[in-house]
Amino acid sequence: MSDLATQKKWDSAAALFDLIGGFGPEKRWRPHKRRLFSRMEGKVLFLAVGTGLDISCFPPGQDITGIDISPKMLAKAKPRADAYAGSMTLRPMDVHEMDFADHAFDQAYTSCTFCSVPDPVRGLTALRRVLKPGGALRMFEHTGSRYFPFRPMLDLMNPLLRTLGPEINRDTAANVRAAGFHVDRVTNIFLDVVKTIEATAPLR
Amino acid sequence: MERRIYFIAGDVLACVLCGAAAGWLAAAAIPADWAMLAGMVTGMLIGMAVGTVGGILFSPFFGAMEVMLPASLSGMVAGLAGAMTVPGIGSLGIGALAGLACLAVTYVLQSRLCGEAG
Repeated sequence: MSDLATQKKWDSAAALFDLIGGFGPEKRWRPHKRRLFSRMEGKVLFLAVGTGLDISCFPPGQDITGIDISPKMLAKAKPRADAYAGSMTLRPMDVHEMDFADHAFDQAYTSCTFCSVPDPVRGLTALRRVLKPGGALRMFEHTGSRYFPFRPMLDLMNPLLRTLGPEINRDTAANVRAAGFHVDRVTNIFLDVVKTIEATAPLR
Repeated sequence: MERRIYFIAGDVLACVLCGAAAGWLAAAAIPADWAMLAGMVTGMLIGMAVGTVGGILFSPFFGAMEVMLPASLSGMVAGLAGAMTVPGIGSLGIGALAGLACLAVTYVLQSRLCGEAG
């Protein structure tokens, strides 16, 4: 992996990640994530699996490959992946530099991932390469807002929060379109900030 | 819309406490002889800082953006209002009320925006 700065940032976050995000945010988002992930089928790629908090929301019996840029996050995810009632493989990998073959996966899922990928359009374009034509991309993400006063607030808070972890003012649905996907549906979960994005890789 | 009482109580707690703290701090930090506009803008910035830090502190217990955004908004509005008061029970109360009002506005917006967006 060449992006050692990002790897180091998330390695550093691994120790406290479950403490900060494992209770309140996960409990709040769990029903929405379960609904989104319930549609997993075929060969599934899960991006930025982190410490594996999302694994308990996965439907059983799936064939899932989880990647993350941080080996320390993956070390924490391993017991959760081992306990998953299906096939789950974890690999340390940067989304920008995935070494999977073209069209290797039927579906790809993300969960609060593209707030943190340094170059989101390049990352999504790399994701498109490994998805089969017509393959589904399903994302649970937080983004910027189009509405006052939340839009300027998120812009103002972003420099502080970016140093702690994610960016909070991205337009991820636009990034998905810019990467060549067809966006099928965007569903707001909290305001227009927390949302699910369902997209399809082009047929050719 | 959020219907779980634990999270609704957490939203109220975060907004009321961030609002009260921001209102009091803005009242205490801004001298009474400042021009009103300068005081309000400074109060708003102080309040937003208080609300953002408060939102981050409450987030592990009650949710991420769902807590941080209304708490920051509460801090901002409470700081603006607090800048026009003297420090004490009054500024705490005005800040707390501003927090509740901001949460109510967030809930109304949430009821309008939640669901399929395109």
